[in-house]
Amino acid sequence: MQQGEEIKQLIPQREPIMMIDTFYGATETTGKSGLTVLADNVFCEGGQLREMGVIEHIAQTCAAYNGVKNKQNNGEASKPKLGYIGEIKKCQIVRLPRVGEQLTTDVVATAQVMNVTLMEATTKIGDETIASCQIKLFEED
Amino acid sequence: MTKAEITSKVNALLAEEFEVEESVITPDANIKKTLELDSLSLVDLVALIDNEFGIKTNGAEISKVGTFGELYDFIESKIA
Repeated sequence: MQQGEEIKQLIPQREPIMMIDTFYGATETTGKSGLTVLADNVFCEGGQLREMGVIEHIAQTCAAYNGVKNKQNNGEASKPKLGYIGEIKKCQIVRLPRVGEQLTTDVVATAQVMNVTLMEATTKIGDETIASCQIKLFEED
Repeated sequence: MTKAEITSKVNALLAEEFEVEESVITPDANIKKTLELDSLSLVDLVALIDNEFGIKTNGAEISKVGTFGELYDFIESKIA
């Protein structure tokens, strides 16, 4: 499990838009992260994490997964690569997380072609699924 | 699975995934032009082939497939 500064070794984002505070680990095709919603989160409004914050959290979970794969392929010293959201499909946000709640997101890499990775994401609060989507990430060389 | 079954299944799946009429999917038609594939959407085709036929492939292999007829042949050869 990685937290705080360690996560910066996996993703290029920095405060105040770091949207994962815990990375639980990755397998060949999966990754899992967490985020506790704080009141000063830049994506919070009216005590809730807005849709963009949920999507950003999912995208950064995918980025962290790619960060782990990058280190496995190119060595521990390799820096996180810049990435971009190419497309989001089948997105469903059931409800918005409230301040104080903890999100956990599971991502599964379903296909990869060159620098493009297609991932399925599910975000939960406890056992309750609050969001899911298919996300396509493009990563720079 | 017979060639006809592969053809029918592929056409239905591609029409739904890429939102085109099945009638434009013919054996001689160019895949990239017909489905308007670019570097981002190519990964959708790879995922679809994996999910529906259990075929692990990559962009390099798929990029060589020019027509739908060649795609049917590719899938048939992989599941044979």
